[in-house]
Amino acid sequence: MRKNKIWKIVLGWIFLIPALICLYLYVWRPSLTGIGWSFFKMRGYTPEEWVGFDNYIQVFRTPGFGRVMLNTLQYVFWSFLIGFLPPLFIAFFINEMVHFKNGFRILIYLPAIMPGITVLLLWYFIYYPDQTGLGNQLLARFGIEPYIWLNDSRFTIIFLVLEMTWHGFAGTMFLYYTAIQSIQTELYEAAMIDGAGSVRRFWNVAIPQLSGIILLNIVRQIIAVFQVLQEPMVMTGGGPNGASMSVSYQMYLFGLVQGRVGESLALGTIVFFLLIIGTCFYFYLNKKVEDNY
Amino acid sequence: MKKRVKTIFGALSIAVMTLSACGTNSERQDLKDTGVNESEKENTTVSDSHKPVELTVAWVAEESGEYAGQMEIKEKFEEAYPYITIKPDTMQFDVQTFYTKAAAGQTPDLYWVSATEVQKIISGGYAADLTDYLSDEKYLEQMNETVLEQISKDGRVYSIPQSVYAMGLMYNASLFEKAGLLNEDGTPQIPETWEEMAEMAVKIKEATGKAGFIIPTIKNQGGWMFTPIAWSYGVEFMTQGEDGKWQAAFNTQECVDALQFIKDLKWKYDVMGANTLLDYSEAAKQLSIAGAAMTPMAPDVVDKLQANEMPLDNVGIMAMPAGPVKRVALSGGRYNMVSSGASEEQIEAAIKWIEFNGYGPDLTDTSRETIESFYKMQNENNIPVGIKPLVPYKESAEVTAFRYEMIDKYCNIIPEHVKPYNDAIVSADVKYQVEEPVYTQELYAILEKCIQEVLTNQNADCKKLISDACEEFQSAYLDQQ
Repeated sequence: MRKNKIWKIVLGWIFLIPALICLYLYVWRPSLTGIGWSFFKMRGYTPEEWVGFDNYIQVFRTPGFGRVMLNTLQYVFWSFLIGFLPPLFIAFFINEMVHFKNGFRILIYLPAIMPGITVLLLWYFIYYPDQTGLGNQLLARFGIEPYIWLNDSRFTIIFLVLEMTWHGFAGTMFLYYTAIQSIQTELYEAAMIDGAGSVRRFWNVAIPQLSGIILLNIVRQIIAVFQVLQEPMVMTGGGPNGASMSVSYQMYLFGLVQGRVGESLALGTIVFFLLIIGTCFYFYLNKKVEDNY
Repeated sequence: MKKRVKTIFGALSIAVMTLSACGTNSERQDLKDTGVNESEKENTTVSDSHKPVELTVAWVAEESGEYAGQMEIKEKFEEAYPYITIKPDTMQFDVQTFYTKAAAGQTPDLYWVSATEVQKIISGGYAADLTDYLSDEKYLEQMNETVLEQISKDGRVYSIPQSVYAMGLMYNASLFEKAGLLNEDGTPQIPETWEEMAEMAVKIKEATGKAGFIIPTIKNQGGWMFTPIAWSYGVEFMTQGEDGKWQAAFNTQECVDALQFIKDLKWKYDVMGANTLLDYSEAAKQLSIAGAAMTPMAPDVVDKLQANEMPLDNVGIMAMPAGPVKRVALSGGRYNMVSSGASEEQIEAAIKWIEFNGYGPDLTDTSRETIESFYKMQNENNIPVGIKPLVPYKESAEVTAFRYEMIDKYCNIIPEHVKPYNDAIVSADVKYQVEEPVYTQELYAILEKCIQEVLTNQNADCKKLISDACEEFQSAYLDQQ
């Protein structure tokens, strides 16, 4: 009996070891080295001498750094506003469908299986600001003059968020869809017998049952969008006039373009701790949600 | 969950782990030496005086039109120097990945970089000191002085330039023709000043509906393109004090005027096209497909025009127009460097390879042959030949004259279309200026934001933008020296 128990523990560790090695090599060690080196003057990618918080001060002194942080929060805000509801609605909609359910599920999921850079280039053409742009060709059908899309610094972030939502919503939708499927059918049946229509069923049955996963998705989305990089990098170069520069893109520029590796590590550390706070919050919510079930 | 942040984090820190995994440069050297010994066993014909050497060299991509030509040169080189084996390496120079590779000791033994990076690479300790290996005194005697300054540090030389360029105003001849801007002999009408250029751009826009003039505006390329325009307005971006500290000096009326000119191109002349967020490749594409008529461009990237299938008959280039103060073109180029991890024998082999390719100061039979076959290959692969590059050596050097002769022989574009540029290169009508000395990319990033602002905001205040930019550049960078 006792031997059996020890064996179980050993077996558990054997299964864990590959994952632990990977985590150590690719997550823990680089993160810790990165945090450590952010206090060093870097020569290339080699730490040279201890400089305390110099790199951090440099980061805060970088022109437009406040704007970069603010932009990143804007990304988070708009992705919440634009990207939060559609997956939920569509998941519910698919669940309610009677015919062509499977086909529709595949169609909806198509954007998510397209490679990231392809989607970015596709949207680059959609947003191309002269009459050859796909978006403008559509506008032209309605007799509207070509619009400058991403060049309009007031809305650049919003347009980028639209692209992100289009590309990413299907994954989230499936989380909701699975959650909806796991709602006990008795609840639906009871509601239907009481004469509840789709809207009623959505508000009074699905939403209360889904509140946990909705909360988790919001936090997940905030953490993910906080690290937005590809969209500004590929589609706008952070412009116009820094209007779409994000904190991750700034980090990339520091580390891999401007040769300011120390600053890049310092900024990485700042973001890391901001996100750690977010993640702790996520786990706290997660626990609460689990306790509810 | 934290995947993206890890990408950045990982790229930085993993680079270091790769370094520790690969060992230090000297350890790497040992590995290479072992490789050499193995090939020695195979190669029995090697003479006693030479140990076999293996040299990895940054190569052109396999899809490139130049690939076949390079392989042919390799074959001939290995015939001439049987103890040297050239190993093509897939590394393409890219400023975004170069330093990671250099830190990890993963650059080839011989690689090329762009002019702006040379000093950074020397300071980073990634390049070998070549001074003692340049036995031929002609290197230092015949080298163009500006170039020599770019490749030296504390009196030591670290690079042998491959090609040097002067930026010109590239144009699409078909749009010029439609707008009636080609003379009867096929030469274009030449804008002497930026104002004349703007007026010509207006004519083109009226006649064809296409953008008359575009410049890249993102990825620091906008700042890069703006500097020569500003120089021609008399702007000095920074000055060095007696204490060696640099001072930002562009908060001047001249710089405001230069920015105002860019703003006018968009809002007064309305010739810029709708897309104001474009990079160099996009600008080259627009030029190739006749979406835009003129753009400043370095002639060493004509393969970008070929990539977009620009008809060769449409390729044209002229010297940069003059500003109110001077006529100036930015110059840069491809600079060969040897990895600091290379052995003595490898450095010697690298220099032999460079000379064999015709990049040395001497005109030998082999370099003659290589230079000729290079242009012949380009001609056969429809890469535009006919634009004369600056040559790293003085004009009196024999090698310079031969290179120009070969370009004329294998010219595959309409010579009249590029005559205004070639004339300017040969007559030295235009002043050449190298890029700003310190915090260059940072300066570009700051200037670029001004450009994006004036192109997207009709009410932008140029004076305030420039004064803010100058202050930012001073406090955020120059004060940190």
